[in-house]
Amino acid sequence: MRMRQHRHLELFVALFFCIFAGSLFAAVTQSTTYSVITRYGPVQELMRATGSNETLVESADGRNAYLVRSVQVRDEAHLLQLMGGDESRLTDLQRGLLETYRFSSHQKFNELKPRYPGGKGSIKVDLMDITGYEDTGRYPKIRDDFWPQNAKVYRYENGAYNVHSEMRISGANCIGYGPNAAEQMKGTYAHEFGHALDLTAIEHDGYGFDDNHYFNEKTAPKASFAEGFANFIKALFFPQEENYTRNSLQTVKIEKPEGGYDTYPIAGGQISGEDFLHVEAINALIFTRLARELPDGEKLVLDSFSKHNNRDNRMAAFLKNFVKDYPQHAFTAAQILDRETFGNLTAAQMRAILGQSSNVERYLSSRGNQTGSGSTPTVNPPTTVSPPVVHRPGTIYQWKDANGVMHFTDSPPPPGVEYKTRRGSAASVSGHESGKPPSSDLFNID
Amino acid sequence: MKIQSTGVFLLLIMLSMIATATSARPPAGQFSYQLPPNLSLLVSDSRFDSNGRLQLSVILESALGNLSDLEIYFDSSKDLKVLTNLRTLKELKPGSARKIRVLATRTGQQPDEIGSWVKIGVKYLPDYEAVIAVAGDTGKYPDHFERLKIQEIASSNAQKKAKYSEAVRFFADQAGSKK
Repeated sequence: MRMRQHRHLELFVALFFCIFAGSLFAAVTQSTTYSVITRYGPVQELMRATGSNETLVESADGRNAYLVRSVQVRDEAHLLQLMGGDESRLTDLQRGLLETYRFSSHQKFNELKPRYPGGKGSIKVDLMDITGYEDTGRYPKIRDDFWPQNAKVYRYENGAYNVHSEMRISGANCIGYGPNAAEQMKGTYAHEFGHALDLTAIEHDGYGFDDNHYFNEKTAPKASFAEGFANFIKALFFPQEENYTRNSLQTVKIEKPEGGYDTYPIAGGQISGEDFLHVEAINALIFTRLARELPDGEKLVLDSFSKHNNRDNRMAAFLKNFVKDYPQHAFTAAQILDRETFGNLTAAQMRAILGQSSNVERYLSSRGNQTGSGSTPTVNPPTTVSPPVVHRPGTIYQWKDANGVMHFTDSPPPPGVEYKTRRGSAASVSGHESGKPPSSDLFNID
Repeated sequence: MKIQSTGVFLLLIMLSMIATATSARPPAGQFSYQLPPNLSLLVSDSRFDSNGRLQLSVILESALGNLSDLEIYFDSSKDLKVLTNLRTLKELKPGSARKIRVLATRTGQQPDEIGSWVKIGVKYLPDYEAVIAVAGDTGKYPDHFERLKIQEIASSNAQKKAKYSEAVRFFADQAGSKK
């Protein structure tokens, strides 16, 4: 009798071990499939022609469909073989898929994987080969049908919901880019990987009516946070992204209910307060600057993000948590928040976001009465003996480099380069598309 | 009784393992412009002849400006061998389509994991002047920064005199249908 009881106990322990122990030590797993379109045509016709190894993918046009075959990728050589076997004969988009596959094993992605929410899910990457289907004249919805994305799937497994990510990389966003497509596709992968790390449940209509979003578009709070974080992850691999993101912020776009966009100068007065935190480029820059400017900042940002990662993520909540986690960095956080919102937040709004602390108050005191001062003097380049440049918090330096590229920086440009300084909240309304004509200076925040 | 309770226990475990999947709203597409196609590649005719050989007709046409230095090559899965030789074309002007006939025979080997296919690939120099002109079209690409991005891509490719590489891949089991 006792032996029988022991046997039952052993059976129970074995079952418990099989079911739960595996998940105790599990980390996020990643797998890759390679998919290729074998045929395109009317849905009804292709439904009859679908083979056992094919999936029917209906086109967004509602009439046509694609037959798609997928194979699990074992390794790089296998992927190359599936695409034809000769690297010199890959198309630009196929090369992009191959380079994305190589890039996905970058050490930094391995370092980020332990931050995958829950740690028990999986990332499935589908490398979708649209070779031969890039012509939007012939395949009008190819971009919509195979646009890169990361879909989160919640599965109830072993008594809990696990998050699984299904990522698609296709190059549909890089059609016509030629050999440059590969670099863009790697960037897309990094961006989508950022989405995979993030639990934010984006608002149903978070991106507006067209379901598209620009870097400089004001969207819903959670949508802008999710995109800002994904852009930040991309910038960890492609630091040049920061400059591109900053340059995109000459204006802010707001989608109109009837379609199209109104475009406003960044600090023209139409956008104010916390609305600035609903622009993905601004969110990306806040993440990026915290990571770059604080000691060990990247780890601090990622640690705080992972600790508080939830469905209701948004930048104001992230900053509040970040300052609670690292009160010693509240001054810098306040400085960055102020700068990246172009000085448009009031002291009360800054306190509401960052909380009240001596470091926040110290920053607000140093801000003084400069906010809203309206001073945007054009400064001539120093000649012989120049007075020391005082870097006021929130001051933006606008200058062009030798290649004609416009920069917006917190510190003055190299000596001899002409620049303007401005403070964001200084703005007077200068018109927009649907009303008065815009100023001739696209970045007119004067 | 013991057997019954063990069964119930196992049933509960199994039930708990049944996956209930829900999907969250995926992030929407980050807006970006694409550049127009330079080259149109179309398999206009496909069939197996009486000798079991795969015959394809492929039409090449410039979709933007004068394409130059075209190298037309063929690839296939290991069950097929393309008999048509590599071709070169000095240029391909708009409105002057070229048709290439491709012939492939069975090798007796098994098809690839992905199927049985023939690839017609083209490496070429696009008409960079035309590409850059299109990329700067404010009517077609009204967003200033997104337009700058594709202009930079077009200019960077042009500076490097980079060749584009495009292809059409025809799956043999689709012979008889157009692609």
